[in-house]
Amino acid sequence: MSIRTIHRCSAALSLLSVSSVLAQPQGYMDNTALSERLKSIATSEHASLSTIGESLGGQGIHLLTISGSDKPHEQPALLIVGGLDAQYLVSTEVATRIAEDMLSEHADMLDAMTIYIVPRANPDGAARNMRPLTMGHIGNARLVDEDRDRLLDEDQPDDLNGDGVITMMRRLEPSLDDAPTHLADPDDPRLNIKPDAKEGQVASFTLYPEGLDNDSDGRINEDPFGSVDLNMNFMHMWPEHDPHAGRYPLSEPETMALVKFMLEHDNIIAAVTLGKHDNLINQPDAKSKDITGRAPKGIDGDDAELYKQAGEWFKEATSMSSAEKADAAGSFQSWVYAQRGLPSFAINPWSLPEEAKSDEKKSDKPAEKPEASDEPTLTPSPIGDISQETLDELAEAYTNMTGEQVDESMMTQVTPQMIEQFAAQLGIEVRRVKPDAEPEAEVPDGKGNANKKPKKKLSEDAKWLAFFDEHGIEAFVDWEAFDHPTLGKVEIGGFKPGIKINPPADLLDELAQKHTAFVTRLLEAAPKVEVHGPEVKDLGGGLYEVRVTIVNNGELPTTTRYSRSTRSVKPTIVRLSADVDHIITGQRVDRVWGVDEHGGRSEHHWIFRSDDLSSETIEIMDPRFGNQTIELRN
Amino acid sequence: MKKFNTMRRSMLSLAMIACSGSVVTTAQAQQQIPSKVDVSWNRFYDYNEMEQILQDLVKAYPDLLTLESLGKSEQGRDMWMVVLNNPKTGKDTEKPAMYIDGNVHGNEIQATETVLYSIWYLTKSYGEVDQLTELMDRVAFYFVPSINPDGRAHWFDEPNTPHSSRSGQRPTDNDYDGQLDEDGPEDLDGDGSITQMWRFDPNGDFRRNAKDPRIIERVPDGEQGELSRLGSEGIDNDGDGRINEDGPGGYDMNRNWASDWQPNSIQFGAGEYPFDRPEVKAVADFILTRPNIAAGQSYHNTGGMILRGPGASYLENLYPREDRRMYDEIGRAGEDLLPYYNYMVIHADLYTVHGGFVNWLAEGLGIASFTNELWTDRRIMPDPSREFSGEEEMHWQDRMLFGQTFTDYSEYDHPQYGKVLIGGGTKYSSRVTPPFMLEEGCHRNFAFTMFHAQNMPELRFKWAGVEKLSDDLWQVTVEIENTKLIGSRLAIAARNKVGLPDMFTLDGADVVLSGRVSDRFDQSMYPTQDRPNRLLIEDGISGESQSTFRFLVRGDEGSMIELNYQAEKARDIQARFPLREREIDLSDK
Repeated sequence: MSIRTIHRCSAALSLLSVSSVLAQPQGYMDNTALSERLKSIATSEHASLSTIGESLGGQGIHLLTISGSDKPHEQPALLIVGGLDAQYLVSTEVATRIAEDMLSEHADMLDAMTIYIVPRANPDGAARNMRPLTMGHIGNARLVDEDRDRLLDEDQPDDLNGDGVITMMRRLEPSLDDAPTHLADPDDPRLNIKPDAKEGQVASFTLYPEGLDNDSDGRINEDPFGSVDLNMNFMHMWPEHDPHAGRYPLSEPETMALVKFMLEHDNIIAAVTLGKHDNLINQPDAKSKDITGRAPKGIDGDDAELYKQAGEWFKEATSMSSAEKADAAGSFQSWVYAQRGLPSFAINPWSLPEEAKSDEKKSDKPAEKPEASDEPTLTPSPIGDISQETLDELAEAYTNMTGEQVDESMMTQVTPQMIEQFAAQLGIEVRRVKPDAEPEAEVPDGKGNANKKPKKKLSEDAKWLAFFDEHGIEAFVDWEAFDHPTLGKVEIGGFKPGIKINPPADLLDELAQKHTAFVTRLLEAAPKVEVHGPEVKDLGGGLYEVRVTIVNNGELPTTTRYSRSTRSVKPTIVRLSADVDHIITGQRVDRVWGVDEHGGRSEHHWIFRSDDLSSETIEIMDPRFGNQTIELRN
Repeated sequence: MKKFNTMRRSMLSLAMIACSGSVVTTAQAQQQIPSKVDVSWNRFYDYNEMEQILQDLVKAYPDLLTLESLGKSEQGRDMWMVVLNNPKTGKDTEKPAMYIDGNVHGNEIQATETVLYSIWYLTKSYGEVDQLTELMDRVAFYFVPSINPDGRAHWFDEPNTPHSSRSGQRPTDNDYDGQLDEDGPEDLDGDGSITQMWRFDPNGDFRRNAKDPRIIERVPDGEQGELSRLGSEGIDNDGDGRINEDGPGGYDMNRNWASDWQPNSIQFGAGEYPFDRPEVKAVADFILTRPNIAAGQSYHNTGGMILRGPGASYLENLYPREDRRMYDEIGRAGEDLLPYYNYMVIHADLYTVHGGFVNWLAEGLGIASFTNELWTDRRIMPDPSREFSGEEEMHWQDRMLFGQTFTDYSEYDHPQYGKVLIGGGTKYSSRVTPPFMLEEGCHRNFAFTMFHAQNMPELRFKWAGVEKLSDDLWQVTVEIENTKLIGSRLAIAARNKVGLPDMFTLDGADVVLSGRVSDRFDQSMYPTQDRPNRLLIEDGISGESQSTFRFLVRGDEGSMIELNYQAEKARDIQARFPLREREIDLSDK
C-alpha cells in the first residue's frame, strides 16, 4: 500500500463515520456547541456573554460575566479560566457547568461578588482535540519548526488505521539501529513495559507515535502541528529558548488576551485556573526562589497558610486527594500569583478516581509518592548506578568552572569511576540509584495468594485500564497489525489521547458540582471589608483628632502577603481633605496594601486643624471594595 | 537569504563606480567629501529637526536610503527608521544587516546625533571612500535615530534635569495615589532647566564653598553647616506633602524587552509585560521580521562605555566562550578607537539590568550587540585616570564653556519651603557632550560601529576536491570560510536553538551521504543519511574560521552540481562545477 493510498483510506474512513464512532471524545462540546451553550446561559438575567479577544485561528475567546449587580465590574470578582491547556477539555466542561450551577443554585451569592468565566482560553487547541481526529494536541495554532529543519509542521501524525484517534505503533521487527525498548506486559499484554532483567524479560519492540515519516528524514511525527504551549508563555519564570514557550512572553493572542483582561479589571481579587496545574492538593513550594533570588518559585512563605486553608476547602468540597504535578514555569497561574499579585488557585479537575487507586488484592496501601516525601526519588542514568541528579549537579559545576556546557556525547565515554573521581574533587556527594528490589522484598503475601511469585505493584496504566474496563469505557484501541511503509510490521493501538485527562462525559455533571462547591466556599471566604468610624474628638481651638479603621471580617486577606511587598495590587487609598499644612499627625494620603483576614485591621489616625470641620471629608477609594466619602462632623 | 550571483555583483559595482565618476579616491578627496545635505555636527536637534534631517537625507540619496515609520509613539509621533541599502547589490533582507538606534532614554540626546551622523557620513562616502563603499555594497543598515521620540521632544521642549525625561510619556501613577503624573517638577527660577533646591538650615550638612559659592560642599565634622538638600526644583502640586514624586511618565523602556524580563518589583520601570510600550513593540516587531540582522548597537549616554550582556550575573554562562572571544576582540578595538571609553560587561562592571535591549538582541535573537554610553566627563581633564574636584569642574565650566551649563544660585520664595536657594547644572550639563566636541564623539563612535559592521559574517567557498570512488560514486569535499569575526551563527544561538540553522544543499546529483569533516584530509565522517542533500548546520561557520563538508553523490561524470550554503545572518553563497576528478580553487570566484 502506498503512502498516498493510506491517506485516502483513512480520510474516507473518517468521513464515513464522523458522527457515530469517531466523535471524540464523546459528549464533549466542540467550539460551536460551547458557543451555543454559553449563549443559552447568557439568557439568564445575571449572565452576559462577551469575548476577551481572538485566538490565532480567529475564534472568539468567550467571557461569561455572572453577577447579581448591574455594575459587575465595580464589585469584587473571582476569575475562573478553563481550556488554556488544549488537552484539558474537561476544564471547559467544568467551568461552563460552574456558571450554570452558580446561576441556578447560588444566585444569591452573586449580589456581592462577580464571577468572570473564560471557559475555553485556547479554542484552536481544543478544536485539534475534537473530531474528526483526536491527536493529543497541547498548545495553540502557532506553527513551530520542532525539528529545526527549516520546514514547518511537515511531519504530522497520520491516522493510519482510520479510527479517528492518534495512538501508538509497536515496531515488531526493528532494524539494527533501532534497538527494542519495550515488551508487552505479561499480566496484561495490552500494556507496554520496559524489560526487567531479573524477570528474564527481553525487549521485543520499539514504540512510535502513529504516523508516517512524511518528510523522509528518518523520523516519524517529529514536527507535528504547532505549537506554543500557552501555559509556558506567561512572564513568571518564562522558560526562554524552550521551543514551546513562544518567541517572547505573551507572544500569543490567547495569553495576551487573558493578561490584558486581568490588568484592565482591578476588581478581580482571586483567580481559579482549571487545567494541568494543581496547587491545592499538592501544596505549592513556599521556600524556593526563582533565578533572580527575589521572587518565589511557588509562593512566598507568608502565604503558605492561605494556600493550606484553600487546599483544605478544596479537598473537602471535591474529596479529591491526588493530582498530577506539572512544571509551572511560564504558566498563567504562576503569573497571577507572582506578578499580578493575587491568590491564584490551580485545579487539575479530574484524576484516577479514588476507588481505582488501590492495588488489586493487596491489603497494605502502596506508598503514594507524595507521602513518602522526605527521600527524593533518584532517577537512573546511563552511567552505572550513578543517579541523573548527581550527573546534573556535576554538569552544572563543570559549566560554572569552564563556562562550557557538557556535551551529551561526552557522557557515552564516561565511566562510574571517572564520575566518582570528579565528584570527589568538587566535593559533590555521589547519590546512587538503589536497585529496584524493594517491591518484591517488602510486600508480604498476606492473603496466601495462589501465585507463587510475590504480587507485583499494579502500574498506573494497569489501574487506569482496570478502571476503564470496569466502567465499560472504550479508552483503549486494541493493538492491530498494520503494514507500515517504512517501519515494516507494526501494531497500532494504545490509550486514546486525553482519555486519562477527560473523564467519561456522564461523570461531568457530578464532577462540576464538586468544583462548584469549592467556588462557593471561596465566595463565602472572600474578604468582607468594612469601614469603622469616624471617631472624632474636638481637642479645642479648631484642633481635631480623627480615627478611621478598615476591618476585614472575611476568611481571606484582601491581598496576598507577597503582593504587599511587590506593590503589584493597587492599594486602597485613604485621603483626608485637610490642607497638608494643617495636618499635625498622619499622612494626607494613606495607602493600604492589604488587610489580613479574620478581623485584620488597618488603622488611620490624624490630628489636624480646621476652621470648619463639616467641610472636611475622608475619601476611601478601592477598585475592589468600592469608593466612599465620609463627611466629618463633630 | 536568497542566492546571489557573485559575477553580477562585481559587474554592477564596477558600473556604479564608473557612473559616480571617481574611480580613484585620493587622500585629499577623502578629507573634503561634501554631503548633499548640510548638517552642523556641533549642535543638537529636537524631534522635528531630526525628522527634517532624515527627510532631507532620504531625498538627497534616494538610491541608498528609504524612510519608514515603524509605528507611533505613545503621544503619536512617528518612529522613523532609515534603511540604508544599495538595491543594486540585492535586497536588504538578503544581506547581513546592522541595526543601530539611540535615545531610548529621552534625555540621552546625543545618541540621536550619533545615529544621524552615521547616515550622513555613509551616504556622502558612497562611491568616494572605498572601504565604506565596499561595506555598503555588502551589508544593509537599519537606523532608528530616536526610539523614544516623546522623551526626546519633552527633554527639548520642557525644563528638565540632565537625568529627567528618561522615560516615555505614558502617564503613570508612580506614587500609588490613583492619579497620573500629577506632581512633576517646575522651573521656578525660569532658567529653562530643572536644577536643585536648597533650604537655609543652621543644622544642615552642607555649605557654600568660601572661594566659589557655586560649589555646595558637605560640611566637615564638627563645623557649622548652613544648607540642607531639598531635591529638584518644584512645588507640591497635589498637596500630599511631597514634591515632584509623580512626574511625567516614570518607567524605563530599556527594561521592557523580552529576555530576562522581570516585573517592576524586581526591575524598576519594566512595565506590565515585555513590549507593552508602543515604542518598544514597534521596534521589536520590526526586528523580528529581520533575521538577517547580525549586529546591533544602541547608543546611550553617559560614562564612556562599550557594554555587552549579560545584564544579570546568573546569565554569565549563557554567553559561550566563542562569543565572549568575539565580543572581546570587537570591544577592545573599540577602546582603541574611543579614548577614555572602557569595554565592560553590564552586570559585572556596571549594574544589574533585567529586560535590557541589547540583552534581548544577544540572548533572545543571537545578534552580536553592544551599547555605547556616549561621552565621559573624564574628557574634561588632561589626566582621565583621576577624579576631579568641584573646583576643577568649575574651571572647565568657566574657561571652556564660559559658564553656559550652570545656573548661579538665587533665592526664591517657595510656597511650601519658604526662602530657598535654586541653581546648579542645567539640563545640558554633565551627560550631554559639549557641542564643540560632539562631532568627534559622533565620528569615533561611528568608526567603532563600522568596525563592528565590517565584521558581520561573510562566507566564501574556498576550495573543493572531487574524487571518484567508483563508476558513478563521487566524493565531493568543500571548504567554506568566514573571514569576519562574527560567526554565521553565534554560539549562544546554536546552543539555545535560536533562529534557523544554516543549510548546505547539493543539487544536480543524487546525494547518498553528507556531513562535516575536520579537514580535507579527514578520512572518516559521521554522515547524515536523512535528506543528505540538505545538510543542516546548527553551529554555522564560526568567526575567522573555515569548515569542511563532504558529500557522497551518485552522478554521471561531467554533470554539473550546484552547491548552495544558506545562512540567516550571512549572504547565501553558491558554486557550480562538474563532477570530474580534480581540486578546484574557489577562493577568487
